[in-house]
Parts: sequence; C-alpha cells; structure tokens
Amino acid sequence: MKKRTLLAGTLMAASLAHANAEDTAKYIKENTGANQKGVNELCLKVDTMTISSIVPGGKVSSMIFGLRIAAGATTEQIVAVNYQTKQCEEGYIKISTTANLVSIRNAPVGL
Amino acid sequence: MFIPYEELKITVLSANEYRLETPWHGLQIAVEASAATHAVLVAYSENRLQAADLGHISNFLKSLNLPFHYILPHESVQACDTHTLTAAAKFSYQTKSDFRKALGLTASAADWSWDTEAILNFAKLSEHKFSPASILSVVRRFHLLDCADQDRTSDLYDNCQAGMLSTSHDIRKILATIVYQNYYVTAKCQESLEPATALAQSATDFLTDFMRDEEGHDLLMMRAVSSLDNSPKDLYLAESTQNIMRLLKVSGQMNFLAFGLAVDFFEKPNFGTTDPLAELLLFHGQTVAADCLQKHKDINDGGEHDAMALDLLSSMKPVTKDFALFAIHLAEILTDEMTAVTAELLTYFLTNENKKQAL
Repeated sequence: MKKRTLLAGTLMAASLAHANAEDTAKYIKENTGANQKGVNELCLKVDTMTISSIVPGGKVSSMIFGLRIAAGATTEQIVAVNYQTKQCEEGYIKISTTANLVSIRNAPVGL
Repeated sequence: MFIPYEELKITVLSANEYRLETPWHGLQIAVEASAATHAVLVAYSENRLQAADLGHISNFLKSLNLPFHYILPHESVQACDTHTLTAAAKFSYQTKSDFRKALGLTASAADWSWDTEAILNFAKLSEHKFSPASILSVVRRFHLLDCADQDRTSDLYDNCQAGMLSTSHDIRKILATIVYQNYYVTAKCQESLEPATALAQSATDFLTDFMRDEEGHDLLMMRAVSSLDNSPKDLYLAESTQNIMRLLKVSGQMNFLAFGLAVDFFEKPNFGTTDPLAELLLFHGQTVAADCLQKHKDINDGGEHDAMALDLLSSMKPVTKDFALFAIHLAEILTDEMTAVTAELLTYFLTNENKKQAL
C-alpha cells in the first residue's frame, strides 16, 4: 500500500458523477441557444444548475461535463461552465465574503 | 465536474455561512446559494451525501476555485496539442533512486510513495488516454498532503521566533539565510522556465506571459537579503533549494505535464493577508526585508498564478500512460525536495548552534 492514494469511495463517486455528466452534456447540447442573456453572455439552466457560456468570439475558459463540440461549431454552441458569472439565475453560487483564510506555512520558495 | 477531496470538511454555520477545512487551507465563507445547494452542503457536513448531490457540490467547489477538489477526466475542446516523451526523458528506471540519479540528483533509499495506479485509474479516459487536468488534481492533493505532513517551515519559524536557533547577535544571519533561499529561486526562475518554451506549443502565450510576470522578483529578494547581511553570496544555500530549481528546469526540458505540475507546486496559494516570513522578519524588527517579502506575496497574489498550471495544460490532449507516469514520478521527487528545504535549514542552524555551544 502506497502512502498516498485515493479512497475506493472516491473512485466510485467519480464514476457515478461521470455518468451523470454525460447526461448533462447531452441536455446542454440539445438546448444550446436557449435563454440567451444579452450580447456577451449565454446562460443555460440545467435542472437546478446554472451554466453560463463563454462570450461570443471569446475563448473557452473551461470545459467540463465531457461535452464534445463538433468541428465548425459556432462559439454560441460551445458551452463552458463558468460560475464566476454573477448574472445567472437560480442555482448559482455567489461568494460574497471570505474570512479567516489560513494556510499552512510552506517553504519560502515562491517564484 | 469536481469531486471533493477526502480531506475536505464542511461545517454549516448558518443559512449562508460555511467553514471549509483541509489540512492545508481553512476558510469561512458567506455565500448566496440556492436552498437546494444549502441542503446539499448540510448533507455533506453530516456525511450523508448522495450521488445525485454531486452536481451541487461540484458547482459549489467550482465557484470557490480552491485546491479542494479532484477534476473528473474530460477532453477539453481547447486540447489540440499532442505531447510525447522527449528523447531526453526516454531512460529506463525502476526505483526512485534510479530516477533521481537520471535527473542528476543524489541516490535515495526511499521508495515511491504515491499510488500511481490510483492516479491513472482516476484520470483514465480510455486504455491509452489520460486526462492532464485530472492528473493535476490528484497530484496536487498528494503534494499538499506531503507538505502538511513533512514541511518543517512552522518549526523553523517558531524556533526563530523563540530564539532557539541563535543568540541575539546572529539572528539577522539566520533570517538572511532563509530569505536567501527565496532569492535563489527567483534568480533561477527565468533560466528554469525558459526550456519549457520549446515544448509549450499552444500554451506558449500563457508561458511567456507568466515568464514576463516573474521578471525582476529576484531584485526584490536581493534587496531583502542585502538589508539583513553584507555578504549575501556567502550565505548557506540548501541542496534542496538548488534541486527544486534543477527539477523545474528538467521538467520543462522533458515533459510539459511535469512542468505544469511543478508550476502548480511553486505557485500554490498562501492565504491570509500577510506573508508568514514577512511576519517573522517584522517580529525581529527587519522592516525593509519584511516589506520586500510582503510585496512579493502581493504581486504573486495579484497575478492569480495559482491557476497558471491549469492554463498551461488546457491545450494538452489526453496523454499516454508512459508520459503521465514520468510526470507523476518527477512531481513526487520535486515534492520530496520542496518539503526538505526548511528541514535542511533547521538541521544546518541547529548543527551550527550546537558547534558554537560546544566551543
């Protein structure tokens, strides 16, 4: 047994979540273009989750949920997950304050 | 999708306040979350999370953007670069000692301690394809756990503060030696990052921006060292400090995934408003050096470099098993060396103090 490993439960959870993600990706793909909000933002609501897209013509900032994009897809069809956006509706999480941030002391070797 | 690390503990403080803790970071947050998300966070805190709740937890972790979670394997639409082992990385090895020697480090009796099979199982997309971002997320956890267990920085700083390492007249030399390690790292930064430009492909812009951001940090560090000691070049430089920069450089020459992992280790965030070393310097009245260290932290925090590794890897296509294994092994050795820096300094100071007392 190695000193550093993953719990079997984590691998199981990952496997379950991945299966759900495929379904979610399918849903998103079939509903792309719905609920467009403004020129620069596209928000899609998937169940209780809100997913916002990249800006048209912009770069994809992250790509999760295993979504595959066909060659030649427009930027509006490329949906990335970006919960940093504050304008999405129900389901989003907005961090308003943070406090008592603490970290262990690490060696002074920062670049 | 994100899956919480096993160590993440969430305590619900009120309808919109939560405390999150891992062995490496802790924080309290106020959030505007939906009732459904709140219910899932309560379930998480009471250890009764269901598989169907993972979407909510994933959203929550995504909004935090902290090293609290695994990233499920996925193929990014940005991924257009194929990376393979360079000729220099095609050497055979069995043990950790073999690998260390091949990279120009001293041999070691220790065996590999990271479960590479578990990492690869987690990050697997298909038999021959492994997700770089998933590998990063698992390796990051192993690195942070090792730092929490093995790093002696707190011991070193506490001993300095308590005056255990020195008589009052040479505390400045001790502080200068500690800061000198950081000076060396920043002075070697550009030459250690530069080789990776040959492997970066579509990540070249990210890398060159990063290198530009890092320019001049050595001047800040040298100002700090010089304010503490008149002959900085004679200060003790730990072997581990030299090794971590050697490993950063080698990773950039051999394997871009290993390079991304290394950058993640060097750029791991240090939360809190003040730099711990700056606090120690201030405690001993060294305001010039403390200002320099604090400025360095502020610059790095402002640059948001804790996300740099994922940016560097965002254009990397899924990698092969051999390529991934090489990167994971290099990351484990870099972690060994990084966590040894302050232990080595502590040994050096204690040995010197012992010698002095014996005289």
